[in-house]
Amino acid sequence: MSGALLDGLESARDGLIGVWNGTVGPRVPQRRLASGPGDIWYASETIRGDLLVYDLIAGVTVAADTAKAEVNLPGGPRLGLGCPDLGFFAQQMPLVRSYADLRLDRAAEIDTQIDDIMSYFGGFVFLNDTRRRQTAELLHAVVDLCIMVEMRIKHAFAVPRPIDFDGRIHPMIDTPTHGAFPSGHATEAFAVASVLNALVTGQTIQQGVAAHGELFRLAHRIATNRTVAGVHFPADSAAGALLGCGLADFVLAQAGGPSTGANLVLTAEADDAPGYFGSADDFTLPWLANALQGLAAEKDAKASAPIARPVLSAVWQRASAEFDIYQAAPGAGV
Amino acid sequence: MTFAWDTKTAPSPGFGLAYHDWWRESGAWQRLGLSDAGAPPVPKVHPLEGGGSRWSGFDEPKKAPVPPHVRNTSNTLLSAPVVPKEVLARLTPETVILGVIDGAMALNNARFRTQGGTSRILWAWTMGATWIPGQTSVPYGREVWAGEIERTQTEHTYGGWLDEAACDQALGLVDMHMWDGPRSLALSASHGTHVLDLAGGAPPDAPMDVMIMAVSLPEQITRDTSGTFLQAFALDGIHAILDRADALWQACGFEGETPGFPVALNFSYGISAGPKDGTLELESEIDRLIQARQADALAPVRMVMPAGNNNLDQTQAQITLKQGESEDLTWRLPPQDFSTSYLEVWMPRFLDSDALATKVPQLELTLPDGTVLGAPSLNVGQSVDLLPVGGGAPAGRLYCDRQNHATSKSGRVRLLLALSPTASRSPGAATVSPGAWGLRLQVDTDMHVILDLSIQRDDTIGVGPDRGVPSFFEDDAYRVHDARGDLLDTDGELVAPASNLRRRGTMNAIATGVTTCRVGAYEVQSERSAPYSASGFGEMHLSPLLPQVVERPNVAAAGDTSRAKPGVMAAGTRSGSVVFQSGTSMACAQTARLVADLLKPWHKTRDPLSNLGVPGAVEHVAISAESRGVYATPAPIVEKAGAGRLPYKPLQGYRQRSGDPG
Repeated sequence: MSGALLDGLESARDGLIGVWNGTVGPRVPQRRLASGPGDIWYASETIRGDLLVYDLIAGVTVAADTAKAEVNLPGGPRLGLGCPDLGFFAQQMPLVRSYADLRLDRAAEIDTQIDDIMSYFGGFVFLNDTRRRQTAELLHAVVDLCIMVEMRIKHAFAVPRPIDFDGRIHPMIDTPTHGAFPSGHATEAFAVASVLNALVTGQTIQQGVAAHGELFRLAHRIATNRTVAGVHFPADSAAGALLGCGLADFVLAQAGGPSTGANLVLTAEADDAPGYFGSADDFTLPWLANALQGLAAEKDAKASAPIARPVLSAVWQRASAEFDIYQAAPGAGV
Repeated sequence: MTFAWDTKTAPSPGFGLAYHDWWRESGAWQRLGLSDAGAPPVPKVHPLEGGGSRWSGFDEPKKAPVPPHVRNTSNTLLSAPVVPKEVLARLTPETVILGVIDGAMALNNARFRTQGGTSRILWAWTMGATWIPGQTSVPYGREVWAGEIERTQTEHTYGGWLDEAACDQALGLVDMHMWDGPRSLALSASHGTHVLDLAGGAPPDAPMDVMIMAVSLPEQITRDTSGTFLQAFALDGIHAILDRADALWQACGFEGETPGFPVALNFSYGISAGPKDGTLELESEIDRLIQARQADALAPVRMVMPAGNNNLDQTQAQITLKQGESEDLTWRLPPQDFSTSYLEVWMPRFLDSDALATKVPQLELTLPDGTVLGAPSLNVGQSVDLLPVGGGAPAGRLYCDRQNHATSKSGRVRLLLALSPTASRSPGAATVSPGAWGLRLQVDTDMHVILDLSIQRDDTIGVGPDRGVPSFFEDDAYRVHDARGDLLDTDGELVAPASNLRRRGTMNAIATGVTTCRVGAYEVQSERSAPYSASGFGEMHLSPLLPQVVERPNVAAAGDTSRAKPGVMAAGTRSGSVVFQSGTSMACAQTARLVADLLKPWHKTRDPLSNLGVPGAVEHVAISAESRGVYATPAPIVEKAGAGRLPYKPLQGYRQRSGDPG
């Protein structure tokens, strides 16, 4: 607020109110601001976002050391992520070098995706703060959830970046200070793709990835672009994609959307495990589809009890309604 | 650092091997991560009658530099083409085959598929792909037939959407796991895809009367900035296409005279230095092959190549030496050139008995620091090293050899000067100083002698560690612009020109064979010859010893929309994407489409001597368009556009914007 407005409001009050002893007038509130625990629409966008992020993160804990991370999602799947040793990442470097050949072709994408992946999703699905306001807010909150979880895991694993393995990779953008594994861009892009795909198509994540849906193709490209840029190993993207899909599956389950409640575990150990990723492997959608299908079968016996997430449910309902143009009105012809 | 000629000479490896010799000497193998000594054994190949092998890339010591994982390591005899029966049903006695040899081509693009999912690509050979054990019919790389392409596409189709990137990887067209694997198709556009679309792409509902056979050169070809192995790989590609076309005809069991499918070949590549009179190894071999098939009463083969894009690059010079006099030229080497620079000096053609057979031009060098190195005494068949004063590896080598042409019983003496890069990343590697290198040339004879000089191409296409920076001739008297400030793209006066630098003679040095149709480029809107489109020497220059050779473009085709809007429109890598690419490569590809069209009625006569699709027939199409008044402007100069312009036909299936010929 400007100083002039501040002064103006004060002088106006002095000029208009007169003497007032503080007793209330004829209009006294008859109800609370919110009609229920899920009603946040009295508050500004920023505050709504804070409330939604709290609802998403409530009860979520991460237990991690340098070798293994476990994300406990109350009422949702348990996510496990194994971190390979540093020798594994050294063996991923030839792939990072190969992808560097695509840099000039992808420069515009890589540069703008440093801090904006949402515009690219907006290229496939109309996303703005008028027609898809709640969808946009939900997706931003999902990204915030991802960042908190992925940063905690990155911190525990503390995997050096490609530039730390060999400076000749000469990344085309600044290498972020945090660890490489798992990739935050992959986590966020696949989480956004999963939630958005559920809103648009009603598909589960497994269905969407298996169908190579365009939103998942986009998420894959965003993740791969970070390898092209020279700041991520393909394994970072694979782990991030699984983590993002896992977090999104939790969000969908809690919100009442399409979910399978899978128990996702990425491992670098057993090569017959569904989430196995070898040191010479490249990150592809068929790999992810395969991993997700295999993992979906393993229901988690240890899942903890759900906790109420009324804001998430309410936002999900409104976001879903923003896609009702895809549903035929009752009685209307096909 | 300064240099001096070695006091002793060494035998020259002989014409056709000098580039390979310097490639080894200069450590280009190592820079590209290829090992010469450590290469696995090459497959045994069928020897030809009279010695040698079909697979020129495997003639020692010109062994093609393919990485170990690309080589056929079966250690068995290379087998004849293995034709899968499933492809035969799509061929008829009327089929025309279009063979395209180029860089990476997006075989999975919808431009090369029909509505029903049938591939227009009959067969493809990716020379730089990892060899598949069991493929005994290729000496290196990987071949795929239509059936495998279609099955791969079916496997990677998700709800009607074809994952072309996954198909490219599955078919070996893209390989991210090998650092030196092919990956140009992971980019949004590629030269090969653009050329293939212009030559043979079609909308999904177009008929399948022309079937494509595609050979992708290994990316090492484009990584070597001077095209050292271009001829060897191209020849392997041509042989592979013709062998398979013949095997297909046989497997189909079609009746009739003159067996075989007619084949139109497109090779949109080039180099800038060479004899440029049809006598280079690749040119002679193509001529021999095409003429031999005619003599053997086999179906006709036609070859189309670009005239070249070097018209304004100052890579060509011609000097007339009067008795006892010398001429000076300046050769400028740019800084930060990480690859070898090559200069060729050609004596006039002589008969074997001629006095010129042993005459060697004397080449005195003035280094950028002013040091003058007197001409080394060199005989034909000798080479001499340029050594750093103070010791170290040779920084250059001057070869003197003689190119003998059997058919005309004549030859030419050539000097080839190879100079090390002007920059290197390896400590201790030989480099030379960038700047002006003075050349003083003299020939000890009592005649007037005309010397042709050309600088070899030195540029990088696509990805690669050896970034080439082209060198060029410099001369204050050479006019770059005309009086109005526009680019001057012709030399003008033939007699007593002011400068020794030439646009004449900038033709693609592998495209001057007599059976090859050479194609220049013109701008569709202005109807002018594209400034970069190379100029031929013109009939005046050529030796009477080679009466058949006409060294100029046969025709010009569309290379650009206008000066302000370069390129013509054709496919990008992925289905539905379009890009504009400019050059005589694109003009060439459109002409190959025309040649394939001209060959369509050939089956009616099956005449081995038919003129359908020969360079003269292509010229006739241009002459007819020029005389019908198709154009608002007179035909461009013959040196650049030959018989005239071919009418521009936009590709079917692309929507043209108003006033947009590209």
